[in-house]
Amino acid sequence: MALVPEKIEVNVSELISKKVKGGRKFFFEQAETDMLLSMLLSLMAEHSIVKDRLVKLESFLSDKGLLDDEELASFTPNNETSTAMDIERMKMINNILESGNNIGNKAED
Amino acid sequence: MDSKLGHGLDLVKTQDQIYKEKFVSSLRAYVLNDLASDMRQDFEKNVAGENDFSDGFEVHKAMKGREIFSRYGSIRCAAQEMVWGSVIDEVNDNIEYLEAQVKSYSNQAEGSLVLDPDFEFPKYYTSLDVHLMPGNYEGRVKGANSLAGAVYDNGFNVFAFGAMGKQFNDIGMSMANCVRLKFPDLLPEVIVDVGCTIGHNTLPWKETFPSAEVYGLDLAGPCLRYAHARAEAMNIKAHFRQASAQELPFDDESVDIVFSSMFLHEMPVKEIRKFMDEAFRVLKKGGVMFHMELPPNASLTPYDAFYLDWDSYYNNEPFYKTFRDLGYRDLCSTAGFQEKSFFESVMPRFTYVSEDVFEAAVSADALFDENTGRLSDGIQWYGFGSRKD
Repeated sequence: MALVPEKIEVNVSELISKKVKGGRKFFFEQAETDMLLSMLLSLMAEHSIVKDRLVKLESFLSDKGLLDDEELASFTPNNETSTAMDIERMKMINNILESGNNIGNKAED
Repeated sequence: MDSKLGHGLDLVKTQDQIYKEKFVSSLRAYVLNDLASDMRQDFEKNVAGENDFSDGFEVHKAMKGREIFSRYGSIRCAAQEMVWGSVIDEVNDNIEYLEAQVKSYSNQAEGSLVLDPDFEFPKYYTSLDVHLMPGNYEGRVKGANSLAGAVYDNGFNVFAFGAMGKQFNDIGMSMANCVRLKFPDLLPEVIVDVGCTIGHNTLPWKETFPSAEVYGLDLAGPCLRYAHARAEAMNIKAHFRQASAQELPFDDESVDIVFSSMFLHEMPVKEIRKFMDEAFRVLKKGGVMFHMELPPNASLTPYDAFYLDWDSYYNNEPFYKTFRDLGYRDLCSTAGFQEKSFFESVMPRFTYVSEDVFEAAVSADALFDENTGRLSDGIQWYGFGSRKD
């Protein structure tokens, strides 16, 4: 017979942190080198995402016969889109520059 | 890799998140295939020479400080952090949706979930985040939730870079079928997977032995809660219990198969021995204990031992090397199993080969090489165990 709890309490009031208890090791002579490499890899990730999106978008538009290079070059996004781009840009900066924060950290809660 | 998990707990991911997962997965494949190969070549060409290395420890000492060692380690650690980082963003974006899905599947369950609100975690478990996984298997988020399970499930999908089967269940599939082929007279009624996390290697036992009652045990409530819902979402009936490997919640001689995968190396030797004693206690006569693990250091070349021990030093897995330095046969016999009943197998991934090829491998003597236990495109799994007389 199934022993299913009568009710599952859901009480999630916070987000999962990216902090690693125990930290992580570094490999080059100075931890800063590892941190820079982490940032570089995060930057590569962001670059790769954008490239993937562009290839997909161009492929989609091309397949639909909607891609006009000149029109695209002269197009200006509206305010809403510009704001969304600002937010995304800031997220990207955080993601890249916070890479490597765990390097050299000791165990702590 | 496919960013979809293919079951009802799939998260709603943005296009950017999906592309990020794909990048991290590719980065891991690059580190574990290409950079790993460069590091081996550097060792063979520039380090091995006339030196006579007796074990992995000496190779480690010689490789430390070499540029390729630093590059491999730094990128591998960064990729590991990116695995978890990329999916934590996704889980955090989906908290309410995920919990609703988990609740929905749990309430229509065929299987069961029993958690222990007073469970006391051992210090070796709480002292650091294993595998550099933020929050460990608990997530360190207050309240009943399954978030750490979702981080593990989605993270493992990126981590495995498509090399570990459908819903990365190939370890379970391989081990269950290894037992089926090795012991055709064994008709299991009760199977227990200890240290099951989200049950990804538990469910293949139910698929392989449909008439058996299959149990998954773990310390981590959030992973078990997720495992239960995940199994229900996949229409597979299994039972999940929060319990310690050192106090298995089963009567003496009541279990047919005690299984674990990539679990023993997470515990101090003393705790491994207690678990072995418990496995012996709960197994029926004729029952089988079987552990999928990394191969013992004694069976590998010094370089391969060094390569696998890397995790012990750099991936927050402090007991990894200590475990792999043990004699596995002795480990089983100390727990009460007959020495002659010990068995070990090196096998290809069940998902990727024909049954004939698989059966030939599990029937043969274990053959160790550089692919044994090394996560790469050509990986071969290793398992050892014993049958109770």
